[in-house]
Amino acid sequence: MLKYIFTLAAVILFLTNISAQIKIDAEAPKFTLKDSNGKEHSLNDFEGKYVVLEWINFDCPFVKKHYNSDNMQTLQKEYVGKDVVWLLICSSAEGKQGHFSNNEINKRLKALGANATAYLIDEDGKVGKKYGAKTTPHMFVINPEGKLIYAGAIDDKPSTDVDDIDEAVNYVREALNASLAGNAVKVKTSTPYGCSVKY
Amino acid sequence: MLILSTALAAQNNDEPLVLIEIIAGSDSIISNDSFYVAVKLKIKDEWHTYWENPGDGGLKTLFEWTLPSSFSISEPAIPYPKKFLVDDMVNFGYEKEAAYLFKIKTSDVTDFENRVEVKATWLACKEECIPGTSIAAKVFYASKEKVKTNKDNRRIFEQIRTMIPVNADNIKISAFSKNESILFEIVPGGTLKNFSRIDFFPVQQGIFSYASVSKLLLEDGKYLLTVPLDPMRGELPEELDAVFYTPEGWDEAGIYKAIQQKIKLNK
Repeated sequence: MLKYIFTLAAVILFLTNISAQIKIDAEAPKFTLKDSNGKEHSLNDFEGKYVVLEWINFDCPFVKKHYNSDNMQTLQKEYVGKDVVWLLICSSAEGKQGHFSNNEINKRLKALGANATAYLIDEDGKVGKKYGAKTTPHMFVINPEGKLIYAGAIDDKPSTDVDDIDEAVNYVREALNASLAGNAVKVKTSTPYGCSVKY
Repeated sequence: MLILSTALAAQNNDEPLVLIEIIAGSDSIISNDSFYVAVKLKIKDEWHTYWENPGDGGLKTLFEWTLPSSFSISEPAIPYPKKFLVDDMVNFGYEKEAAYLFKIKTSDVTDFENRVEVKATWLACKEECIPGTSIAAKVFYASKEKVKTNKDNRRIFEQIRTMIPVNADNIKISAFSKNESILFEIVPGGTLKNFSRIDFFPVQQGIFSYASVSKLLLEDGKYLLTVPLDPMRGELPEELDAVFYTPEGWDEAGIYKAIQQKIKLNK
């Protein structure tokens, strides 16, 4: 007779579907969020365009690595220049690290010279959980048909060391370049690295 | 008396987040010998550092040694971690302290004083995360005869070893890919114990859904542990490397709480 012994604590039961709604090559979950200027953006607004989603927390050392080195801004500029939509999404809950007022966000975006299309605020974490966003940064690439073509880390060097950037393989660049050229994306998923998203 | 190193932490705070020290059984060494040292991390209250698979976020601790030319050192034996639920995420790591074990081998030691230094690069998190480095050093003195480790130090190393997962050959573990889960069949050696739980810690990243519910059943003398896979995983590997922890312990005396095995995956 089977004897049922153990399940993990019920407190984490609700997490079982944290990333259940996304799948590579399937339709990316729809969302509507306000940006740091109060303007609403829906994924539907960008039909026919590539969309990059970058989960962000300005105070996370992994995010600092990519912004203090200008790596992320350069990447944003390069692809926004190619008509790619680049959305920063912050799922930090109010009172937690990475959650800021709109003024503070805009000040920081300016100081860092960010080149993203918009900074979206997801303080109830609903969009983050739909996408299974676990870390900052955690990157997603959606193609013009609205399908998810990449989900995972920004690159293959999990560290907070700026010196690692030059030798890293940037998975987002690889996915966008391949897809923009009409080729298949080689690395479609990778393990994201960074700080936990502060839901 | 236990030999402790001096330690420095690259933190500006009054209380460093992570301090390290080198622990050795003796400060005397001889040529062509081997001995163990431990690097102990002392982690500030409420903060944690990370295991080799940090879980849903974080970064493993790395060690870089500077050694005399007559010394060589092994990769670390890594203590089993604890599971943390942080902001709805699961992390694997350590609170308060963690001791990593290294084996030093000596060849022809010509100098009387032999200084070893270790730099630990870590990420410590509470709500926020702060990366840092800590350095510890220790001098070993060349001796003509091997000095035995004293009783107190032996006890400390025995305690550290109980935190290192053992590769218990008498415990047979098989792994089967089943729907969106991996089923582990675990046949404990010796008398069958009534385990209250088995915690699963995969060394490889990106395969399992850490926050999902695992199930444990006892059937015909075998424990059946079902662990859900990450829906965003890549291709499953041929072999899984994992640590299994039970508070009751895997040995008769209940001393060794964790085992680590590389298990062929039946797909």
